[in-house]
Amino acid sequence: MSSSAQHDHLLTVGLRVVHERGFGRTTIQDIVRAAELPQGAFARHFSSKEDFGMQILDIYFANSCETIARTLRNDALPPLQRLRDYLALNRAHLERDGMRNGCLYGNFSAEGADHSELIRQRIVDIFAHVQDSLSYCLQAAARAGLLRPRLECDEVANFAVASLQGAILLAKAQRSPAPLERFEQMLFSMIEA
Amino acid sequence: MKMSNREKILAEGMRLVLERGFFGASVRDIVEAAGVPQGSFTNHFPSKEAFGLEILDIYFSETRAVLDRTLRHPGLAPLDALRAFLDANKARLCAEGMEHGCLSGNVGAEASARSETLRLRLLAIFDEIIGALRACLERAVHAGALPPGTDCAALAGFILLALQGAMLLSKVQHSLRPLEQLDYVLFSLTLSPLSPHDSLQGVH
Repeated sequence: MSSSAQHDHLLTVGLRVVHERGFGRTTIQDIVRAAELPQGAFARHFSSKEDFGMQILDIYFANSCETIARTLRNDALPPLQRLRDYLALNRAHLERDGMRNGCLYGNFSAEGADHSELIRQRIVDIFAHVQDSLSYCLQAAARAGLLRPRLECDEVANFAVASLQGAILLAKAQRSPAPLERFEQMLFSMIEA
Repeated sequence: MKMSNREKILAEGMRLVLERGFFGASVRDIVEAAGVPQGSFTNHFPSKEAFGLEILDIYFSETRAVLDRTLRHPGLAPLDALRAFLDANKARLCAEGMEHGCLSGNVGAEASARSETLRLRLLAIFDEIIGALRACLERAVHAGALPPGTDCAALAGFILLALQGAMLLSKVQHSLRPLEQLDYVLFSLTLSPLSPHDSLQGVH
């Protein structure tokens, strides 16, 4: 395996392990073992577990950005369709593992990202990016006259990002997509004209 | 009064779990913080899961006290009771350390996939809160403070998930903003005495 392939392999496998077990609970040994590489491989590619954590967040976030580009920020689609598509893709992503593992950002947040200020700040920035994208979509919907008048798009977008995390948390506890469906239904009834 | 080893483990254990998460706080960390011998943990708790159930119960007994003086308080008008409930959650988050968030939510995020016992206890806790929210909303409908057709069960479930989400974001952002946004959205967009559309269009 080339050095760069090994690096990617550690990230792919490590992301899966962290998503299942939580970051704090995953040891470097867990990662190299799951990747079937010698212990020393980790130190060759990552300066610390924090460095590794930042890099798996980058991968996960690249995925989120792709979803957002196809949905919330996709000007070719009608605005509220983008929001529905975004929520549907999120649900499909969560249903892949029967709602067991939830969202990586939410998991990092719940574990207390305070062990690393770098990681905590990164999560805060990521949530801010998702909120901006949601607000962008809501503003397009407002311009198209699809929303209730004078809706505070930024406030609603921030609320929606937080509530989606809450819905994911309850979906995990209930092992059911019902909280995600309830969230979507209530969100639309709140904002639509 | 002198605390027993068991009480010390529960008190310090709760603090550590709030700080580091349920799995992040190891049994060794907990006994060290409590200043008790390692064996003392196993004397009092057959497993970490059993310890988890106990701290959830302690945490939830405080939640119940909050429910009693807010949502379930017979002397409060229903929507005032709801506001008081949300305010009490904010106050609790500030008092316990905003960066810690809500214990039930944290354990829910971490343990739902790994401990069926903890997951089921959390479901019971969430159900009780949803039940109190629902009864309060039904009183509001009855009092004419919400429209007659309001789906109180759906709305109660929605408020709980929105609250859990807001506490999670407050925790990572070290800020009360997510909980304030929840207030704005709930009270200006959802809980309007008339249908939301009527109340806003009336301003034109």
